[in-house]
Amino acid sequence: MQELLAALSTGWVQRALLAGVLVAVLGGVVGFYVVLRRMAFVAVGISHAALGGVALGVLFGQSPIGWAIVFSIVVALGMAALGKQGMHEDTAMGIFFPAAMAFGVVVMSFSAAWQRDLMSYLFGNILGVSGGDLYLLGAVTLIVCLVVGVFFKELLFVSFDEESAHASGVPVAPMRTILLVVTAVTVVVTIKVVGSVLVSAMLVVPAATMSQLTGRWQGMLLGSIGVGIVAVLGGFALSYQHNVATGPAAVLVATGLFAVASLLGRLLERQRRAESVVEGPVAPVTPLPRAG
Amino acid sequence: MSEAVVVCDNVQFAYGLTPVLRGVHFEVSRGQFVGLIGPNGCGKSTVMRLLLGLLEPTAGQVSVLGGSALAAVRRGDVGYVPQRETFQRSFPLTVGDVVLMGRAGRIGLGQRACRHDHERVTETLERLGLGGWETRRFAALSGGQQRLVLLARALAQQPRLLLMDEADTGLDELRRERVYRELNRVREERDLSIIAISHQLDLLATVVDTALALRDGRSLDWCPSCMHHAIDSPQPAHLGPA
Repeated sequence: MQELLAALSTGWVQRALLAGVLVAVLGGVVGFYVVLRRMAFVAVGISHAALGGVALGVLFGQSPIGWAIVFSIVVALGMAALGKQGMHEDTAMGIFFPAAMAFGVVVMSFSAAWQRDLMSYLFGNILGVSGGDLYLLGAVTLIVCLVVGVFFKELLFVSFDEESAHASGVPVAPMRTILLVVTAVTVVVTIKVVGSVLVSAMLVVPAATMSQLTGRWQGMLLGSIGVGIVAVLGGFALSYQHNVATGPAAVLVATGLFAVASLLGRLLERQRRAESVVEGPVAPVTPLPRAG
Repeated sequence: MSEAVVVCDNVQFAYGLTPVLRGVHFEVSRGQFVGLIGPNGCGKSTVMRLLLGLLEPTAGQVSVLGGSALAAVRRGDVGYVPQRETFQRSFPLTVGDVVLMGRAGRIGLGQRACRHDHERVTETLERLGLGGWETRRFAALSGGQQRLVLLARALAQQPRLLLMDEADTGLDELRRERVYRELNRVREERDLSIIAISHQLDLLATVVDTALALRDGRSLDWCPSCMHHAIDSPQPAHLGPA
């Protein structure tokens, strides 16, 4: 324990922890919508499609994450364009995901340095987070929280019921595009920490955990961030003590929390049902006097 | 002559190569309550979607509140209660959250709801006999109760035109009657125009000013009493005059 506390005073550990907390905040905010809109496959697809951008970055000797962000935004906009023509997001992702990934593999075969970068891309490396990575993560977290904060009610309405949102005057297509772009950027900057294989877990598992426990969006949103932070910190402690990879350890902690929440959720639901039986039927209607 | 809120001028529409509407022509004036009737699959919901600007007619013209349907919808002037459940039933929302969503267009893009919006929510729920429901979980309500909340959402929007696509499905007789009486009261107060699709022809006939039947993709004007008569006819209830 003392070793762990001593490690906390070192710069690279502090950077890693801060990066983990930022990923938890991002994952909680964006994952809230990913789970509500049932876009988990979209998140998985974007994380794999980002390989195309990583490959271009490696090939040109520039920032793979920078290229991956641009590449993923292009994929998200392409999906939004297909969605506007009536295609479901999952189907659109099914087209872009293998195409972008295949493109990445082909491009990487031209680069000698690809193997090392590929491993980091696949499984992430929270302990290797640099100051620059942290600034990027911080900036993206700030921008995503601002965008979601400004358009919160519109994004929530579109996630709940697109047709009625349209009827109430909400611009549905731009909101859908905002969600896809925000998801794409979040997935890519999170790859550095947990890797593309596990990134979707940091988006989906915390929000799914809270959906078992609460019927209020406020609880689900804030709780998702909390579950993410506990998972990252718990994963970090496990990783330090047992010398295992941090990203997978964080995902395992998050999955454990989900299992506990599922059990608690069932108990809560049973209790709610029992209470509603005791309370009786809601709001009986009394007939109105007939006109005339 | 009252101001026309909706004008459908020889509207035609096809899904791909399948024609659904072959010439629908009708007008709805301010404060008028119109029942839209016809057999399943005759294009009633398609008419609603045209009035919402979700579809474009393949021929003819649709005008809502003096302009395009899309412009009226974007101003928040058109309230809508959908037929099918286009929403996720388990969404983590309270009844108050759902009804407040109806105010989204009025509140404005990126703006926050103010006290006035919350007051409209409370007032609308009370009018529909749902006072005190704001904190209830939407997911925990029955299908009929959820439809009532969706109607409250559309009314809280304070629209000038209300489109109801089988909004009374799942409601018991007493509640259905109360809803239609309250709708009539709201339309008198606000000069609200209403177009309602319903299979409850007996009740609909007592509240609408006029009825419009769709048959073979064309529209036929019906007086409410004829509509009432159709219920007792040996033909399928909504097939129109023989």
